Amino acid sequence: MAAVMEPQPSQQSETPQVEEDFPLKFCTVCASNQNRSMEAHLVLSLAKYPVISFGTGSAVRLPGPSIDKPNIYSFNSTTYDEMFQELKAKDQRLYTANGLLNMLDRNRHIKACPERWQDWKVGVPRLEANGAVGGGVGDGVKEGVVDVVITCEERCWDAVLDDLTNRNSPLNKLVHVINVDIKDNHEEAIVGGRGIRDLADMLTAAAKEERGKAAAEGRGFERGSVDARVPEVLSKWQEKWPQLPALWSVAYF
Amino acid sequence: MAAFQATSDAQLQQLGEARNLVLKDPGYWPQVLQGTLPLITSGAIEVRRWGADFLAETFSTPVVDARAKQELALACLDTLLRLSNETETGILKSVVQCSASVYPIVFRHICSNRNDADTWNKMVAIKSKILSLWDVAPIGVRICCIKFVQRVILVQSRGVTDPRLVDRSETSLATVPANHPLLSLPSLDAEAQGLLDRLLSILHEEHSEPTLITATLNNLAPLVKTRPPLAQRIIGAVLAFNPFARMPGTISVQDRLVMISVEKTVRVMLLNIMRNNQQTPFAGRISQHIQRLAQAKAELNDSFSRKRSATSQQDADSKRQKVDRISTTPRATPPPPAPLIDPLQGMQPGPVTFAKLFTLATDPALTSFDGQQLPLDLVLQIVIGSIYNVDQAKLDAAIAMVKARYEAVMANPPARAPGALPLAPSAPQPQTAEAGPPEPPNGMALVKAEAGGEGDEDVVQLQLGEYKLPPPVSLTTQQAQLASLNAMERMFSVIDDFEKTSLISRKSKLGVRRLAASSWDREGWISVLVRTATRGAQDAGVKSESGQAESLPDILRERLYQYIIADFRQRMDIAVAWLNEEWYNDKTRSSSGTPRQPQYQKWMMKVMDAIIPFLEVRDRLFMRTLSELPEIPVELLHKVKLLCLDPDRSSLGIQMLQYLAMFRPPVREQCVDVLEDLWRNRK
Repeated sequence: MAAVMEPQPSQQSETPQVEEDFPLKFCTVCASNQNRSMEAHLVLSLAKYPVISFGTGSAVRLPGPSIDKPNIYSFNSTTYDEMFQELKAKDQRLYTANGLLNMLDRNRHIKACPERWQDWKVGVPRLEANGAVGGGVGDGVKEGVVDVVITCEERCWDAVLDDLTNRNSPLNKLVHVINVDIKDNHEEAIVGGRGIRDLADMLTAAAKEERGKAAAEGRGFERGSVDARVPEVLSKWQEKWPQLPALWSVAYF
Repeated sequence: MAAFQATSDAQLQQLGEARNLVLKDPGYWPQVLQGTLPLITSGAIEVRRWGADFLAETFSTPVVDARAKQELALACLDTLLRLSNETETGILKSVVQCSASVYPIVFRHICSNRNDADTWNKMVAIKSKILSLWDVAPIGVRICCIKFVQRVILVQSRGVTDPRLVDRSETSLATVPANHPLLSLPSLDAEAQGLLDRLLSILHEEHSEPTLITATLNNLAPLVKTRPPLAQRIIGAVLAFNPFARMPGTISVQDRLVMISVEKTVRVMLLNIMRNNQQTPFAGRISQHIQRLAQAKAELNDSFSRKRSATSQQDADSKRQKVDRISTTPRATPPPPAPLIDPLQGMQPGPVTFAKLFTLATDPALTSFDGQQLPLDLVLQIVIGSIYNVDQAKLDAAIAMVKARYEAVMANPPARAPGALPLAPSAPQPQTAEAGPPEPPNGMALVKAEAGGEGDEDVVQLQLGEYKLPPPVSLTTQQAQLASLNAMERMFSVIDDFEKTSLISRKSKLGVRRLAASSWDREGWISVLVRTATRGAQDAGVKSESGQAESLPDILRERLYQYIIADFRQRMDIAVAWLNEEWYNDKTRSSSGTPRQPQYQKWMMKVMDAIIPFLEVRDRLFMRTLSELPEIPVELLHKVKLLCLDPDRSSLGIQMLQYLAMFRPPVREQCVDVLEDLWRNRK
């Protein structure tokens, strides 16, 4: 397995002047906003990145007692806590054994409920408390817009690009949409979470480097942006994490 | 300086609080923006940064309503214009993003305020500033410029013409009243067309940044969907764009990542267009293109090493696409020719030839063209290309017309011309399929003319009874064997036509799970030949009549052997592949219990016998061949030993033994024995 980047000491020691330290805001997306996107959400917010997360599916689907009896919940209304309580009451042994309770317990401490990508009102400020049990982690993204969207499955990447096209970009704001293919199980989600954290670190480092550039480098423009370097950074990252195949596109909100 | 710093820090903090306030209660937004506008341009650089971002956010945010935005837009044009002269990427990005939001608002305002030349001039100044940035600014700014340009094109072009579908809230050229003193429809339209050309040229430039390409692609779908007059040009440009075109000599991780990302973006965009408009006249070509992309991507994934042939294939594809486009676009738009020409037009009484029966073209130049002049493969290409692109309705109409003619001819049988050949029963079938639209483009006409050329001496006869092909004559064993050998010879001749890739790069990255011979390249044909020799052609049937000369597999093996030793340095890989297959086959057969003479050792020794005498000291690659053999018998080691006794080549032999002893544990003992014997007895 590729090396896991340890948190950069410089990022942890600095004062939490979020705007200045973290030039990029992130959004993680998977199918149900339960496993992969939430693992990445947790990892990124523990590293103090501004992050929010979504699912692109039509409903939240969790494994049930058999393959044809999944537990289905609706996005944006059923909270992680309710799911947790319900499944615990249904069959505590089964749902402990397959890791669902553990996952829901983690999720309910991050935010209130799974959110659907297609229902996200981009640009509407997100100032309310995130409704997580015990206050949650991280600040979220108060302006309701992000710079980088990271999807965890090619299908979700397609859905995100397609949805952005259909929205007709009312904000005119550019966004990098990156896919990091992660298999939908707990172990892979943890590996994927680390990979995404590493990617966020690398992109942030590149953004800071560009920002530091002086006017000397040609044509009189100062303080570059990370945009031009995303393909390069992503491919460097891909070499480190070959087991998480990546995709990328520049789109607009 | 410190004091200044402190004031700007304090100012920033205040501004930050103001922003928090408006995020919480958007009602204050206009007020706060109006209040901060003077600060934004006069303040320190940090304040200007903040200001540019805040401006962009103001016109992006969905929480400020359109009416308020319109008022604010007019108020902030001066500020925007001044900020557009900044040199910081971040500020410029925000300025351009903001302008993209503001442009439609201001345009609408000018439409209803005919004399506000002042405002319009400011907007035009901002626009030209941004268009000049589009060429020179850093990539981050240029991505924003692309969005701005898309907005300008949307505003300055015509939308849906159907009045029921027009979206009143949308700004387009239709919003401009007649005789507007400031806005001239033709020049606005022309500017939009020019900008669209410039936008699309990003896809076809030699060295476009992938960032700009994906940004452009993601901006095109809305244009196609809401601006039907532009759709054809945009789709044409996208279909002619080949994400794999600039495949460099060696594919790095980044090249591959970029190529598959761009390809995927194209695909998502095309599917989006298709889904929203099933009736689009381009549907067929789009789905065809998507398939072609999938194929190209599969090839890319299949093996990096075949990139060169893939590129040329792709180039050919894209060239053909362009040709297709040239020949097909003109007839994509004209309405279907409802009144078809009279079926019997041009049908003189008297003997009717095939040519007359099938010729629907009215142009005499086309009808007199002799298709037989064209080479057959070109004709095939034209036919296939035309059949793909022909409009189903036109084809049906054409078939119906020929049918009508045919029935008319049948109804009035002409006097049989002396010496006329009766109509071959199976002939009309393929030709009917070739009959095209009434005014066919070049391709179709050629095909028909060709059909005519053939049929010149054939005169239509009357009765067409049911016809069955007689069953083929069954082949004798000799004939079958001869045919097999011929087929084999052809395969051998094919192998040499392929470019020789180096041994290392050719190895597929897919490992054991890949399907052997899945691609028709050199390696694929070799696999087919080798497996035919070892497993494919069963020797069971021949064994019974052992008196017969040789069994097919043995002939094939002999042929392989000859082929390898003819140029063993270049064909070492074939030898290894073959001998490994032999060994494997020996193992599987012996474990299945069929009595059978093992073939591996026999042929391996034969090949080695043929090669070893010709080895030279420089043939170090042979060591690799040796190490890739599945099993090394002692006899082979003795051959190598003989090599060691030749003073000229002894170093090669010794090295081989040394390597085998080091890296091939099963034969270590034997190798050491041989070496020891050499040391004790010969030197």
